[in-house]
Amino acid sequence: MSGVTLNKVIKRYGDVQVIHGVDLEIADGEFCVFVGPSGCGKSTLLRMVAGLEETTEGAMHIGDRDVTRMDPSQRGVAMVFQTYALYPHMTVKDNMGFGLKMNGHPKSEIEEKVAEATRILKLEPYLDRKPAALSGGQRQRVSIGRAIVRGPEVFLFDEPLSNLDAELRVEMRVEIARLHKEIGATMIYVTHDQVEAMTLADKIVVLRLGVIEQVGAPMDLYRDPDNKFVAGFIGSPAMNFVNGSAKDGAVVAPGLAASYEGMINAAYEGKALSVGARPEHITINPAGDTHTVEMTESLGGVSFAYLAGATGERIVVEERGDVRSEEGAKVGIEIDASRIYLFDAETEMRIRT
Amino acid sequence: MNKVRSATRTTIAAHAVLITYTLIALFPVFVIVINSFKDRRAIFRDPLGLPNEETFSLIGYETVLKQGDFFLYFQNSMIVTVVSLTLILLFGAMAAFALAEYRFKGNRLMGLYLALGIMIPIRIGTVAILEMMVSTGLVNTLTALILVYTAQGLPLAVFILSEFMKGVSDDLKNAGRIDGLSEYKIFFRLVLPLVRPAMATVAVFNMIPIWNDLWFPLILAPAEEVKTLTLGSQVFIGQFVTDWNAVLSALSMAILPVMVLYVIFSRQLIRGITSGAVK
Repeated sequence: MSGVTLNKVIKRYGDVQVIHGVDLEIADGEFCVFVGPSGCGKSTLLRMVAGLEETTEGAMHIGDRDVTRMDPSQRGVAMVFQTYALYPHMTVKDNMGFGLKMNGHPKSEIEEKVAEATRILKLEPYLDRKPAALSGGQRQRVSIGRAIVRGPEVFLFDEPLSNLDAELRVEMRVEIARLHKEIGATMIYVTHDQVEAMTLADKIVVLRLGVIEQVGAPMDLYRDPDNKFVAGFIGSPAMNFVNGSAKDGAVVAPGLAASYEGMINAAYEGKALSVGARPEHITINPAGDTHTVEMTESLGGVSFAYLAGATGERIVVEERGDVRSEEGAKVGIEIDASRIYLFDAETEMRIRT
Repeated sequence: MNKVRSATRTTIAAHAVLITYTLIALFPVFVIVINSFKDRRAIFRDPLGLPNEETFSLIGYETVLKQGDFFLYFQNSMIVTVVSLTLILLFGAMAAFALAEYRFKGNRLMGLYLALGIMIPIRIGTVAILEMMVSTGLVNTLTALILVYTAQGLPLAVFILSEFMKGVSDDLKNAGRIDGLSEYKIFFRLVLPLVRPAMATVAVFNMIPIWNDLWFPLILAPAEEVKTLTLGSQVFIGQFVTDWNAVLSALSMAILPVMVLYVIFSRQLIRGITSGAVK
């Protein structure tokens, strides 16, 4: 078992650079999630770790071994694909044992390892079926089983749950978390779904346009984002942003109909700011009249109210409890000043106070 | 109910059309086979009549078998067809895999060049081919025929197979690479089984023209010991007298091996279709 280290890793296709010098350290046994919008390079980065894409520049280590120029099979990795990529002409059992068989492992050892993976994933009833006769969730389990059988140092998951329906996705998510606990191997997981990222990860890597925006534990990213992109990406519904400015040492945010004293130093005087507040940290005051409720979405336990302020900026507010606001109503909002996030409007970097 | 009934009606209509077509297609074969079992006079008096006690005769088969070399011709045809098909499928699939899988300079140009052979009939180059065969000393060998037929079959094989191989999911091949398979194993163990229906199609398309060809055997390998069946049957067709019994018997027997090969390939076709998709 061993960790993964990336050192100034760059990927270019011809003249187009898609990964811009990524430095990353993933500890042994860690569950690391690459997350980001589509086209951010997260899958490319994973495939580079797998060895399916060549690394143009930089170095990559798994444990103490330099794997930068190694073939996929020599790296000690196993990969689970979004499309499952099961061998359609083989039974479940053969699918799992195929890699070992092709590399000349003895039959008894293959049987043993397949049996072990079957036990972990509860695949006993399906061993003699072909992939076509399995449901999506079962296929993905077989695909994970194939990875386990290889006994890799690092597991790679490329959006493994994207092709499953919502219910199965939750089920498989729990299963993958359980698997990580049971096997304890290093895992790298790519997803665009921040719920998967938050629930599974020990460490989240937020990527945008081939650059790491922030690395950290899920709750650290949620509580303490480094920039506007991470703040907006982590959390659902996304954080609200309104324009603001620094005036006489106070932050003025017309969209929130509020100003906050003593939150910013003089250097920002007169500068444009972006003021962020999470939906769950805003409360609605029915007595106020600064905002109009444009629409509400009730999910049962919570509902989301879409408000428009005097500036026309929209704000989403999460409501719980028995009293929920109604469409068309005039309301006010309240936010604890400690829950406000400030960003430089130009650089989008967080302003910490 | 109405829908069910009209569906039945459509099925009946479709079957009627297909059966009619089958009858038309099989009729000449049927005529050849029944006449091969009749004596000469009966063939001319009543070409469409079934052989009966009076007209039944195996004289044609006797002539053909007594000719002695018939089995040799048979064997030659079989060798040429099977070896050519094997080579076409093997090299065609390999070239198609390279064109579909790897990005290299001139990939498209190479594909186009290989596809050119579909448009230009190989017989145009007969003289040049003959010259080459003479200078390499391959005239009157089966090798000459095998080489020509392989060249003739490759363009279409590469064209059809590369389209099919592009359809095999990349993830599947990558899964194989991570499982530690060499590119050859990926080709033979993962990709080939998945394009088996296409391979069967290519085989069927190539088999019959090769088996039936008269042109190249006549030009490149007319010697007695390398004659193919089609060429061998020509001995019974003379300028003045044609031994129809023998010709019809030889043709009837020539149908059999092609039918066997066809059954083998068409089974692959059906199996390939039902073997299940990637996702």
